Amino acid sequence: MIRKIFFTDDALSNNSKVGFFAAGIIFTALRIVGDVILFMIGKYNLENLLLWNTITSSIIIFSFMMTLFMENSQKKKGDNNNFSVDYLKDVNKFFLISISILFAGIFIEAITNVGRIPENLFTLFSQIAFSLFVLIATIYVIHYLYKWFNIRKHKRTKFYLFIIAYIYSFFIIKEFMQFHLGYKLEFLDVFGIIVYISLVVLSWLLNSKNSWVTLLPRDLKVKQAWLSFFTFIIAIVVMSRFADLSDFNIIILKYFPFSRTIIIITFIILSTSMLRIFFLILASLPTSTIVERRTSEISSLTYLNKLVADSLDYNIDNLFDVVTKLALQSCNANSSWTELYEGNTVRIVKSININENAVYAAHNDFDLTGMLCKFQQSELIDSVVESKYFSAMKNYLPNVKSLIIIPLFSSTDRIGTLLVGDTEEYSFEIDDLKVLNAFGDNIRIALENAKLVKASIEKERYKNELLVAQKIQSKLLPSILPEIENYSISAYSIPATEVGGDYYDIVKLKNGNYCILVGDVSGKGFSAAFYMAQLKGIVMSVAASANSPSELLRKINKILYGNIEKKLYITMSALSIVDNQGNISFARAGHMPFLIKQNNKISSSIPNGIGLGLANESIFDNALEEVSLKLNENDAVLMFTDGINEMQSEDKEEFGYEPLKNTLSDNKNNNAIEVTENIIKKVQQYGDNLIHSDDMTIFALIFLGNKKLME
Amino acid sequence: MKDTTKFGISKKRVEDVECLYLKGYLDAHTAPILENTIQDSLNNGNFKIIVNFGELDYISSAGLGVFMVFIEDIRKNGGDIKLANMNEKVFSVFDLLGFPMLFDIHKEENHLISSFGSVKNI
Repeated sequence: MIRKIFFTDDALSNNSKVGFFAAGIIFTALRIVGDVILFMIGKYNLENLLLWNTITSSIIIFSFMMTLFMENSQKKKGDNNNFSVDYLKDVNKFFLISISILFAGIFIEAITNVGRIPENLFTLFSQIAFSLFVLIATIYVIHYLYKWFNIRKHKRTKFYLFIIAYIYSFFIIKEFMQFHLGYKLEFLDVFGIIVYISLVVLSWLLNSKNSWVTLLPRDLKVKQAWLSFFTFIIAIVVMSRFADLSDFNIIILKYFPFSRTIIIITFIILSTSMLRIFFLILASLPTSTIVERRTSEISSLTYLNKLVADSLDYNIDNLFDVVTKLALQSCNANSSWTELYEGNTVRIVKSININENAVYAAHNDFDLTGMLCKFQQSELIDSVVESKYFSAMKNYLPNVKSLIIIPLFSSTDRIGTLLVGDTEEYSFEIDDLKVLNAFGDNIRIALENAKLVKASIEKERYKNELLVAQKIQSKLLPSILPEIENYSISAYSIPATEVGGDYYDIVKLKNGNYCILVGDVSGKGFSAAFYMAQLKGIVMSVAASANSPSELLRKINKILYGNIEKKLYITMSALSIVDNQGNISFARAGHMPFLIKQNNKISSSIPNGIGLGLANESIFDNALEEVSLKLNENDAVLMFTDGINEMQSEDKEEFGYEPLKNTLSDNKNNNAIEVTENIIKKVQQYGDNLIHSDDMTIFALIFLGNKKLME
Repeated sequence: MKDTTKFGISKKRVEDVECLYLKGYLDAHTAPILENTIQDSLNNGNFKIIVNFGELDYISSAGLGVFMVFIEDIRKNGGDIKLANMNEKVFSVFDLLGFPMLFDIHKEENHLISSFGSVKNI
């Protein structure tokens, strides 16, 4: 029967639990009512009621056991995270149950006369009540012992519990045979002693797991030790009270057969367990301070790690705040503060039990920063007064008698110091230093994280700004070229990076002539793009006051010279379309040659001229030449920047002028767009997969002939 | 792509003229080396400088810019930068930009050494 109970692992429904409980109550009531009726009709004699008592007692024991064990099977191990505390509650229960059984027994014995036939209904009733109370309380103890062995179970727990179940059965049978049926069977007594001893041994072994004790905080351990010890004493007393065959015990034995056996065995297990736990706790007491400390260190570090992960939102001050607090706690120190070095100033981010003004004063009066920065690694100052460097500190911070210094780094830069102080000299240990070192490392990681996040945000922002710049710049270049009678024109420009220094435009001069401009600001990227934008502004402002390309270039140079960085210069070609008869004129300020197709012959033209911004007005103006030409039908001019002809192939050969000339002479369709597109295609193929390192711009002009005249 | 290690400068002193011999690639990466070298010469009070391009293979716009940085100061101090011994390709870069109108450029270094005294003005 009991074996069945111990190994009921299936989770039976709540209904069956209620059912068993109801059965227990009904049979208890039935038993009491039956006893009372028997007593009333004068038939009550314990000697003659063996069958009635045995059957009702068995059913009551079984029902209540099942009620409790149903609950147990529903609870899984690990439901309670804080079992140690729960366990303490259990021991409390054991203690209370044992003590109430003890006092109830004494009380009942005192108020009732013990006899084979109860002298009155009150005696009968109180004795039955007491017997029931002891029985149910014991079942309750069994239930908690079982639960507790299972939660602290080890490899052999199941096996030991199995044997214990047999031991219960053995003694129940022994009781039945010897006491109720009256067989002597002396060999059972001898064997019983052996079984008692093995029961004690098994109970001892069931409690051999001790790791949970180690983890308890010291104060709980002390409490537990006391409680276990007293429960042990009471359990022994209760057990011995039931062990001897006094009249009182015999009555109980007869009232509820098997209950005495169950009580005795249960209290043997309980007392042995309590004794064992008492010893376990005693053994672990000396190390408990260390364990507690390790536990708190680990939990602080875990917390810190979490914070480090959170520091991605670069709330660094909050991190220092927490670190300062944790550092104080984990070393059991008295005061702590974190100071940061920002340029030449010191800032205290967080302080605990520290007069910040005194620290600032110490920094001002003697070079505390310098001394702290001498330490590249954490340092333990056992006595501030005796210390070589910090003895002066006693005047400022009299309560800091010993000190730990933790240098804080971001990458390799020293950014601050975490200081932990105590009111006693020699109060820190080398272990404190190790833990705080870990704090320092964590801060370094957190700062690194924050930096990376910041960098990537900045990169993202830069990227966005670059896109904006690109958009703005693309608006500086004409998106649509004007239609010019008898001419086909086309332009194409590709910056090397998002923004570039190449410039092309077509503007109207004072005399109404169109003027094509192709320019190149030296350098690349933002600086070039900036000057390119400036150049556009200058062109817009002076174009309408110039009558020729050379005049325009002169005006631009006049403005630029002395107003741009010395190492920068701008080259530019300007070509004006004088009329719709093919007359053009052009000038060149240090720019690439003009490639000209005239009567199917290609030549390059390099009129004299210095780059814009390189020379003063007189030198520039003197040097600048302007060339005039008359184009015939199908004649063309190509203007470009050096990004085209200097495009390099994989073996570092330059693209050169030849492919440009070829494209120009191959073009028979009088389509400028075709010319620019072909050239760009060729250049890109030439550079293949290489990223082009310079901006590329090309402008083509083809004279279509005088169509009006032809018509 | 252009190997910065391929750029080098050696110095020679002829009378009161500082001769700088450039070698390899002069571009945006290597231009600061030349800039520092010329700055050193100025710091030492040498304002007569000849830059010899005999072994220079390539010059970019950033390389050209270096000469513009100092020329004004140098000429104010009665000195000059003169450019010697360029190969055809390097010369064409200078030529396109109009440098021959701003600087004394000559094949022969010796010719330039003896010519110090006649200063061009920007």
